[in-house]
Amino acid sequence: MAEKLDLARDVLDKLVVDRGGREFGRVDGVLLHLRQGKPPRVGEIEVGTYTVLRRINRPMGERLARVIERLSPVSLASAQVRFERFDHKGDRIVMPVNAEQDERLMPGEKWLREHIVKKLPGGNK
Amino acid sequence: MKNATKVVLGVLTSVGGYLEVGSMGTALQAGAAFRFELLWALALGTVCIAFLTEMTGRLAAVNHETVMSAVREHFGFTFHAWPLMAQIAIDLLVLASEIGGASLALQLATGVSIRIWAIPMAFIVWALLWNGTFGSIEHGVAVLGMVTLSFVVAAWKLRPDWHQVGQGFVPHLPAKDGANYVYLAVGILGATISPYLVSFYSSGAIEEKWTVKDLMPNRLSAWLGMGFGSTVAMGVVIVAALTLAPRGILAGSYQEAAVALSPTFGRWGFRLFCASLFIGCMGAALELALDVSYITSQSLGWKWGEDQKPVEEARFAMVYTVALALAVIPSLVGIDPLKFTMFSMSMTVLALPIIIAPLIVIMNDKRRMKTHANHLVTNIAVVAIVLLSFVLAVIAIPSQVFGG
Repeated sequence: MAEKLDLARDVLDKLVVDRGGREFGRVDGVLLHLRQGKPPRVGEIEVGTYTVLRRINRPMGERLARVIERLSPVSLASAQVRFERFDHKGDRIVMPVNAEQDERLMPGEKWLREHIVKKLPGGNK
Repeated sequence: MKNATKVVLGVLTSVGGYLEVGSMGTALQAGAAFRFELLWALALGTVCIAFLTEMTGRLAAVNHETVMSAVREHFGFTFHAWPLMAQIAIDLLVLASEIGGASLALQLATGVSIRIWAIPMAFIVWALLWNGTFGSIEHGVAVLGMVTLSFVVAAWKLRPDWHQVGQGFVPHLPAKDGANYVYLAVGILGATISPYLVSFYSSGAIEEKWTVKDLMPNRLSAWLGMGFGSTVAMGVVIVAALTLAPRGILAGSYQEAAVALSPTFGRWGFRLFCASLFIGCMGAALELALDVSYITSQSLGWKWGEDQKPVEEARFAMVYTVALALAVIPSLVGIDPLKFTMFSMSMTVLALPIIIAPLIVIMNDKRRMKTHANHLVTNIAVVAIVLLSFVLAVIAIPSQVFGG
């Protein structure tokens, strides 16, 4: 019998790591695909600030996201990772991606690293 | 043997790191205004924080997760956002108080204004975090923090009436100035049941890779560490009661209170007071700045850990950088550190229920805690602490208005 997964309990808000074990966020949202005449299918998980802000309060979150987007040097758009292949390691969800090489993932981390941390004394060690 | 070393190190860390701007400020004012009468608040707060740290250490040892991670995963972000925002706000307020306290210690020692010292002070804390490791920071704070034991030595040498001291552990209403008494009791409890201690303790347990084998050292470290640590704060109350109260000094500012150790240590008294204030505040500032990074990273699923290099976890490093930059503002604009500290303690109490209450559910979650979930005594304790935190939150603002 196929293993059942409780989306709210076992997927949403869980830590997501790439195949190298690098933590790159949490499951901030889950997108369902609605299909004509067929049951809905889990399409993607969303990882990112925009989704998190929207979850607190949709109108307020969207307004706040727009303000931050204007000030932020990197996009706040959440990354959508296809949920077809994944693994469960304890409480973590392992996605078949490389977070460092995937441009959609950790844009803030990469921008801060290149533009600030590496330029500060001791930051590049 | 290994476990014994862990316990000794844990206890030393708690003793060396116990005194900080909140516990020192509230203890000085309590001793100066009410002599030994508020020692019960300190003892009550110590029992509460020992229970809370033991629980979160157990969570880390059993399920390898911190309180913040557990709360987000169990309750979802829509709920978790509130305790997270409350704790970030409280951490920033207390961090600003610690930077103010350390800068004021330097002002007392050198005569140069706190406004000049605030930025270098924050920079020192930042540089230690940027270049240090968790172990070096934890043990450095513990070793240097031993200077705060000068209050315990002074309390002993001043030969208090131990019967009167003992009576202070029995809660009672004061003969006069009830509003100030309640205000100081709330302040002491806010300084002792500090939310950052709880999240920092569980993050430290993950940094040190605790497992179920560490459950006994965890229990002993939590209880003995907090117990012995609180003797330092009790030493401050006794010293203030015996040196400041008889001279009518109410410790309304650190400048006033700086003479507390002089009757015992003479010329060295003032230096020891400044050193205790400086080291206590610097140690707590290191822990608080780290804590802001810990809770933010754990909540959002970023890589975190003080042992990692900044380049490997840029967001983690930038959170404490920004927190320290914000924390210098009150000192730069000239807000009195002691007044700001007392305000921060009241705000801490206000935020306590929303931060602590989720623990009741988390610590009873069998999927998470397996056979190490809370038992009857710990459940009664955590429920009582949550109820106490609700009562404190309700009286925090009125006590600030009428007694502060």
